[in-house]
Amino acid sequence: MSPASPDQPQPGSAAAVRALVLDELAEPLAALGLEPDQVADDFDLLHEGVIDSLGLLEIIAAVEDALGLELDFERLGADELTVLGPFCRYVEMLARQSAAPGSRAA
Amino acid sequence: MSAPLRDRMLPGVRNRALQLIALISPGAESVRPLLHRLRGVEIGEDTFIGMSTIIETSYPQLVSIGKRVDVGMRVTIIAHQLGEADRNGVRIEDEAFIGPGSLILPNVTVGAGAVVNAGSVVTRSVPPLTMVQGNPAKPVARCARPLTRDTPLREFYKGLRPVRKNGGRPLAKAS
Repeated sequence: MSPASPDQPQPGSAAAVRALVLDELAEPLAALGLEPDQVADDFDLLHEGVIDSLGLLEIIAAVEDALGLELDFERLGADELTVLGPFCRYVEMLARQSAAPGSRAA
Repeated sequence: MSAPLRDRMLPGVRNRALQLIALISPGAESVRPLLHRLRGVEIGEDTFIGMSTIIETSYPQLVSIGKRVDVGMRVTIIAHQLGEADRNGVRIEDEAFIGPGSLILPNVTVGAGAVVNAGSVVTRSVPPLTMVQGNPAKPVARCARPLTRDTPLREFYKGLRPVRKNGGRPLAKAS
């Protein structure tokens, strides 16, 4: 991973994943009258009608493309899968694990 | 009415009358499957047949639906093409999920645990544990587990893996 500029979150960090997800969802969020900085940590993308199963697949694909990871959500609580904050932190954890020495995904 | 004509007509009338009753009757896991079984459709146990679902009007015996299948409301299953009825059929395997408003066309097998998203038009067979979407329906995800009535939706979502088009994104944005 290349070093992030001072204004940009570190790639793979929860903040970077959040920015990526919100960018991917800019259109449906705008339709609800929401700007990215207005989206709370506990915002449930499924419950609020921002994504469906296909939207979730798009997000997964976008994050995988950006991080070069294959995401496995089996260790994430089902209720947290579509909640913005927990989703981003879980991806951050996977990114850290994959970057750790000895990781097969690194 | 002559006897030969009556003998040809009566089974068809009975078949269509049962289909009509099944369209509006209650009992998605009891009365509706029973009515379709009486028509000749093979239906396994614990299968759900949604309201206003049409299962092959002319040749119901060409349709086989497995156990614990979920057929959503307003699904249409067409199992034969004119002049080909002796070779056609539709097979829906155990624990498949057919979303509301979908259309399943002849010569299709929907594999065990596969998911057909709502409103899809299924023209080709779907592999097991594969989610398809659109018209014509194309694979968009592999599923770790079937979407049964006992599976919480988000638990099911956790096991979805995108199927990428030409190595890119799974859906229209990729093209």
